[in-house]
Amino acid sequence: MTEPSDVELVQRFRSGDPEAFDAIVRRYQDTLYRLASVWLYNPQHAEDAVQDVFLRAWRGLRRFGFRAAPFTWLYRTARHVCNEYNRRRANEALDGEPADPAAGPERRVGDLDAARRVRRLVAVLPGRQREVVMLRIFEELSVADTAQAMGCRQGTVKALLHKAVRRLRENGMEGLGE
Amino acid sequence: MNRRVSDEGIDVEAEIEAIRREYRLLKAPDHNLCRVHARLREERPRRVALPAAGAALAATLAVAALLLALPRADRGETEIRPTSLTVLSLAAGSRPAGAVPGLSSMRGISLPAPPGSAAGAGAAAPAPTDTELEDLRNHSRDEEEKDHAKS
Repeated sequence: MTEPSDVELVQRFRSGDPEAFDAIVRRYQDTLYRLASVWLYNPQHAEDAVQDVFLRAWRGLRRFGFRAAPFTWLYRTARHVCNEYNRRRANEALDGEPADPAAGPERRVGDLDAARRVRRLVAVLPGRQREVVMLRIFEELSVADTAQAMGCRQGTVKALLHKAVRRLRENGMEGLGE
Repeated sequence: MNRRVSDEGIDVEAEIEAIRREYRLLKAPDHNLCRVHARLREERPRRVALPAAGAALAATLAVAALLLALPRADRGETEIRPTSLTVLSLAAGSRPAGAVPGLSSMRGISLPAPPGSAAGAGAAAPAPTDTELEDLRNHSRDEEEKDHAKS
């Protein structure tokens, strides 16, 4: 049996099937958690942020207009939520409570290492190139899906990826072996 | 991607691939879905309570608006009692201009039409003639006198 598409799941959810929502969560929770881990660099915050995204999805997908793919909506919401977390954390740090990236359960230390290595890799890239590397290389999205998530053309994705890889070759690998 | 070695002797593609493999092992915690459900349950009672409070507030405001509108209804050229307009609307088979559905039957009044509105210009119901208004005024005055005599 073929898996229902994202659009089908959202339609089922909107017509009152709560299991369709669970299926959406199961399908995208790992992707969103990985992205949030890199953006937030704190496993506990990443976990909370992903839950926040799905809470917003519970409300937002009921009014979803299908102008974009459901994943695009989730991805942009996740980015927005993580930006809010980072802003809040920056304010906390200014108030004298520095954020502790290692905070969280012991079992998440490995996650922190993986997130740290990706962060270091993409840190040398400008924003759009970083985003395309995250989605295309690390999340293994197709060019079309990457373009939709980023709200640009497929040609732009290819060009950004090409520049990003060239830049990584030139100077992005410093310190990765640490 | 062509395999290229950086100036530091690192195989860039191999390094990216190694990081990618490690990164792809990251998984959301097993309890994530349960936590989402738990948080949704926490949110729902609050979300249900809010519309109820909003409806109560809206009802209070509607009653207040009615009470404020009452003196305005009396400020017209002819001294029209609210009951007269209601009776007129029933006689005409439609609501008078500016009437609020449901409220007139509840309180026996209707609101004046907003100035310059289409309804106020007589689009919804024909404007009462002077004779009709006079009849109705006499009718409601009679009714009041009867009530007064009874009490």
